[in-house]
Amino acid sequence: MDETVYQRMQEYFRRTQSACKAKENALTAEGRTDEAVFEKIRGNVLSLSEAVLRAAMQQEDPAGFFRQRMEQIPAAWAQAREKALAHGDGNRAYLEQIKLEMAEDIRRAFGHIQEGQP
Amino acid sequence: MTDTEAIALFKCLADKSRLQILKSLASEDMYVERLAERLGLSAATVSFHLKKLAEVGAVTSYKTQYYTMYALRAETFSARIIDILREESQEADAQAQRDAAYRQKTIDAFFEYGKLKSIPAQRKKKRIILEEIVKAFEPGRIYPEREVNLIIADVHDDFCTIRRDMISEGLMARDQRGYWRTEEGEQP
Repeated sequence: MDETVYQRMQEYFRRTQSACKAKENALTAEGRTDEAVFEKIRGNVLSLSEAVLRAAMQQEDPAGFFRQRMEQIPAAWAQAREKALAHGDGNRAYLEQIKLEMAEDIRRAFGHIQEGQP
Repeated sequence: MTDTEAIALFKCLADKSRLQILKSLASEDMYVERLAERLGLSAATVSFHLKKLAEVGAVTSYKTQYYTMYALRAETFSARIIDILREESQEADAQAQRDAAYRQKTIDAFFEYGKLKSIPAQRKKKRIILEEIVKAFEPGRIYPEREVNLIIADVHDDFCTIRRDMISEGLMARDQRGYWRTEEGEQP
């Protein structure tokens, strides 16, 4: 992973996190507390992924490390979602789904940035 | 309506999206997608809110040919707030509610989908967990050790420790015939 990809990913994280935070604040102010929590969850996934990216930069194959961790970490969320669904816990499954969708967005953004797309 | 039920209901209502859902349902029964379109929310988010509303008895659902329809639960909303406030809440009830809440919190922390995640180290918590496990045994029936082990193994792999703890806590007793669940107050 070259420095440009790293910088663009950092920029993506900053932009998306700040959008999540703005949405979270707006939803809280409007009294939509649970939907504000959904944004907080998205923000947490972004922070976690940003930390993974920073750690990746210390590795021999940063891109490979980042991709591998971004598959490995959500696998546990997918498992938790399936477990919740199997026990009829639809709301918990939904929270896991939010994390999985955010992780998918991050993976997609990483792919686009690596391919040099705008 | 108990204090706990009232608190759960009011907490659930203190959310704009849920209030909007209830306002929509006050005009007519609706299905998830229709509510989502009307309120500008995703269907998954509406389902999330409806589940919470159903848990506190604010909405009810029924199936039609194509859809699951949601409706306001009339009994809940016909209760007057002043009547809820006038309901007596004795200290003994409050204490019992606190005990029940502590008990539930402990159970929720240590059990996941019916499986015991770990055996609590603290005696009070362990007692609660053991009392929960012993409910799997019919009172008055004598069980062979193998069956006791199988029943406990459904909950946790370390059935020997749990079996012994249930004996030492006086929740179960044993003699040469086998094991049985003790009556409340029966000494080990």
